[in-house]
Amino acid sequence: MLNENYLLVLFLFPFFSTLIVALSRHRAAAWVSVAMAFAFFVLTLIGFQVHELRYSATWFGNLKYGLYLDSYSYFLILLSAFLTLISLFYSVRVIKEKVAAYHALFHALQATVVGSLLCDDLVFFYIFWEAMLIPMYFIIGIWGGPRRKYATLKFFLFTFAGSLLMLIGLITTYVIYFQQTGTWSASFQTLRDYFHMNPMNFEIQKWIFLSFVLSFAIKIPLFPFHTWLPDAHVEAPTAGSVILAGVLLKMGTYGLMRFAIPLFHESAEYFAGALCFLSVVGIILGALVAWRQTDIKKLIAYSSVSHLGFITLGIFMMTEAGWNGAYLQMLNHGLSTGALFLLVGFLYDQTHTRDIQAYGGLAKSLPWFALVTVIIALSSIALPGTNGFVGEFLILLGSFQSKVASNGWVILAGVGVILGAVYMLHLVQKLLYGKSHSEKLKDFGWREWVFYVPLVILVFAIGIFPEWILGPVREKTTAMFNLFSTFAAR
Amino acid sequence: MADLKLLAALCVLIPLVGSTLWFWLGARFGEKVVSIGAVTFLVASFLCMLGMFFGVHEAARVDFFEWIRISSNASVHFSFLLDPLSLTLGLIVTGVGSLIHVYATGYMKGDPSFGRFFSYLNLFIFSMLMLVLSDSLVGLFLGWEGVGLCSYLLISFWFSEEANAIAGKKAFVVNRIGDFGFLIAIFALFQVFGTVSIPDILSAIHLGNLTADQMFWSKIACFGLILGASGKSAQIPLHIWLPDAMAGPTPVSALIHAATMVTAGVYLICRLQPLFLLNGGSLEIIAYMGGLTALFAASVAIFQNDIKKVLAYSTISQLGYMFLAVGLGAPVAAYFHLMTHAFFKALLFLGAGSVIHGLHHEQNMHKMGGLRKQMPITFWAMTVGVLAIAGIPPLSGFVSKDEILHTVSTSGRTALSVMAFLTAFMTAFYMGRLWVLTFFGKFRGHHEADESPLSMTFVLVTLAILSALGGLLNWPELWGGHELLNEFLSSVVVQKKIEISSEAFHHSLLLAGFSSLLGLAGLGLAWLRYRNFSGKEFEAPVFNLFKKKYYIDELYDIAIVRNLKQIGWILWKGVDGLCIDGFLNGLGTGTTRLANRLRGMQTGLAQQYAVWVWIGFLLLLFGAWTVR
Repeated sequence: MLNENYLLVLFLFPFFSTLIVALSRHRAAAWVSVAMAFAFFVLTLIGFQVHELRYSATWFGNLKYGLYLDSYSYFLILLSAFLTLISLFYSVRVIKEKVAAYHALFHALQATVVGSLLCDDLVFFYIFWEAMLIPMYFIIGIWGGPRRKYATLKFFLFTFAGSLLMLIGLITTYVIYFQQTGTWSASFQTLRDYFHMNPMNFEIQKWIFLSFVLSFAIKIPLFPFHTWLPDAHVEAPTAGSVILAGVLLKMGTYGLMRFAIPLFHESAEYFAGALCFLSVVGIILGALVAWRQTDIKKLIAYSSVSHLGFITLGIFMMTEAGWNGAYLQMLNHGLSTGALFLLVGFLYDQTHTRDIQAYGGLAKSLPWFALVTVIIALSSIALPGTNGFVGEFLILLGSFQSKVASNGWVILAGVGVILGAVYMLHLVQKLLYGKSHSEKLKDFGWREWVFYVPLVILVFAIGIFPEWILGPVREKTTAMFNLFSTFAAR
Repeated sequence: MADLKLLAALCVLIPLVGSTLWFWLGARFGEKVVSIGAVTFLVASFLCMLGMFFGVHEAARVDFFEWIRISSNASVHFSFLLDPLSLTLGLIVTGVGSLIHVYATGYMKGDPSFGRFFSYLNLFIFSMLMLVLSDSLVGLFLGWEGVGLCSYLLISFWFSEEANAIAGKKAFVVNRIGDFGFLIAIFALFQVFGTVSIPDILSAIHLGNLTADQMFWSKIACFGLILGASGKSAQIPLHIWLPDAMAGPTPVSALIHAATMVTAGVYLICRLQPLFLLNGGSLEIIAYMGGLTALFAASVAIFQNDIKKVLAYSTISQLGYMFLAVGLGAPVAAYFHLMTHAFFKALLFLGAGSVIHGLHHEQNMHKMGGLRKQMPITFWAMTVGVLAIAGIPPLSGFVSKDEILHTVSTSGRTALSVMAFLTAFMTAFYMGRLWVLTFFGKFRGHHEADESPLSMTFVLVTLAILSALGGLLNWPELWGGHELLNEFLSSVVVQKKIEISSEAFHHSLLLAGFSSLLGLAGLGLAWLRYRNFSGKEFEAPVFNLFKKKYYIDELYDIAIVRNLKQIGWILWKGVDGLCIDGFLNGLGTGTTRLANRLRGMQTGLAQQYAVWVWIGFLLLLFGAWTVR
């Protein structure tokens, strides 16, 4: 059995690999980095049967810090390890400049992500949450496209502004805890248990909740805070887009499920209607705008806005099935959108254009590329049998039973299901069908198959046997909702 | 029970395995291996289905494994419901499917994507079997969207033509609108019954005692299901995709867009008949939707010149008949017509395909004519099909259509009766037109026509025999027959039995006489009008309405598609660009301006700074004074 030292290793390993990669020679750096990413992925896999693990130690004085792993954090770490591994592997051939720095930044990013996922402590969570911005800032700013300056500034200001508000909310929470108990604590568990027994003044709680939600909403991004995302994606290098869409956006939804709602679920129920409204607007706006894009990356970016809208809908509707679906959909979106960005990158590396009009008839010249694109597109439009369906189905079914907001929102969100097919099939048609005018492209080689085979397998493995993820996640959700209901009963 | 499970699994998995095989290795295997393999796989699947058909008494449920756990006491299983309703349709799917596979080996000969074609075709059979056999609504939905996917892939099979790709996309998106209704129905039913298993829902309905709230949600579910059914079965208002779907290879049109997939809507309503009986109004809607569609599509079919378009509208019209029957409480009649239609419409499509194949992909009937001499087998087989659909006794189409006409005429709804009889006449007319234009008169085309290879003609003959004799499956007792299908399905669906009396006998005889007279009149009129066809059609401004399919495509384009595109643009440029980014950029420039102003204060002049210090000091004093 694994003990709590596993957590410490998991936590420290990415820092360690950042250092190794940063110090390795230019030539070897890329492969060293892939090897380290692989080692971390294996290390993560080892923890598969762990349901709950806690590590705590004293820092100095009586200031404690703690690490905590459960299924909510575990699968996201696994996703991050997997996506980092394949995007670094992909980058080996693509990135030829400042290789060591590039790879080290991705490991640093992984370190901050894993750090904020493992933290039981709100202060540490906040620090890692902020630190996440820095590697991403450099990845886009140095290896990005022509408008990278504008994109990085926008990305940084948006997310930074959000985090500052959360900081205010955090400090207020501490102060209130201190005023009422006379001791300081930043442990999430302690705070949550305390505020469950002694509910905060609702007027104050509302504002703190909103400060958290705003910060998470920008990261997710929830309408109307989403406009930084398309710009950031367009300018980011392929691997940066994969991690941004696949992992970083999920930190927002994770923050909601882990911190904002468990701490202040009364407020969450109070604001459910408005937040569901924003989610649904995001679903429909994202889909309609995606349809009109000619830049493939922008199309995928807006499709993310739409998909993340489904996830937040599932969360804000406050039902168990909805939460399970939302959590699964976070992973699904990471896989399918990550794959889509890799597919676009595959084309871009050969043609140096992302204009949808420049392509056509690829199904003829690139049959394997076409096959994978269609499968991933189907996963994205949630065809039954693929992973996307299970998540979307649970989100919508769960939300439909919701008591906190009208199920009219679900019906509107269902319209997004139709529109999802519209923009995705539009993309497929423009890329793959029609007259072929890009004959000279090369189809997949072994390097591509190395990561597309596991991706495609996962699409169906989650689509047909979702229980290996849903099972552990459901346990966690049920425990969480039991807590909510005991609170409501009191 | 164990072997039943094995049979069921094999029946479904064999086509799935085939699908991957042909896709992966189709090119390496070569046409011959793929042909033999694909057909063998389907026949094996058919045999499994036959084994289940005879192995199951009444009904059986086969459970494989848990798919999605919704909550601690509700989950979705991969499991099958084997009962008369599903097994009959399963037999048609695999049986007619096998025949069409055989035909396709001839039709697709020499196509560079031969393997891919059979891969999709096998995948379709898998999805269709999932649809038919699943015992949960979600499993049914998996098949439902799966067949939609295969339909999309096969319509845009020759994807180098942009038009084909667009037709495929249209089919998928329009079907998705229906699927949206289906999904909402699943949610609503789960709300009421707490389960998605069809038998559990139906037994809960039998128990009764639904509260007003539950009745409300079951009504919503009915509407959702009607939307779903109208999408898949191409009923008004979601019929627009089917005519465009003719862009696919002809065997696809026969299998998917005539014999099997499009009947899924009828199957769905039969499957959940008790739910619809609970909400009588919804059945009324189905009946009128069907009647209207039948008449509308028939009127368009008369004015089409593309042989496949005529058949496509004819399919929409015949599906309308089935909806009409289900809506009027005669699901057996609808099911019967579904079966005979599968025979004769598959025959007609494959016959048309044989003609198209012979004429090197010519589909315009104005460029055909006199083909009965060059293609005698195709001609005779098609003749049987035409007579069957026109309702000439004693062919299968006559018997099944007569049952529907009987239901309508005794239902006391005059409007529906008029629609149904008018449609019967028009059907005979446009089919007569198709038949005469293709096979009689002078040849008006360019290419020399040849009879098709044996693999195709063999299938035509087999289907012709089925179309001729299919009526025996449910030959009315009034005429001394034995209503096999009625008896078989009676445990699953409810249909009022026709009393045997001399009065009923007279009525039915009168009806049969009248309907066959209508059929003969339609055919005769077409013969007179088109026997010496010179290239001139009916010309009148009012006919443009029919030729242009009532302008419904154009209407949808203006009212919905363009508006949505416009909205998408406004949301992008207006909301995202102007409002949100505009506001934020304004915030940015505002900050910069403010900073510039403030920078102006830093002049470097000591006197000015001293003044500021003084002002500050005075303000502090003032502040301290007021606080005190």
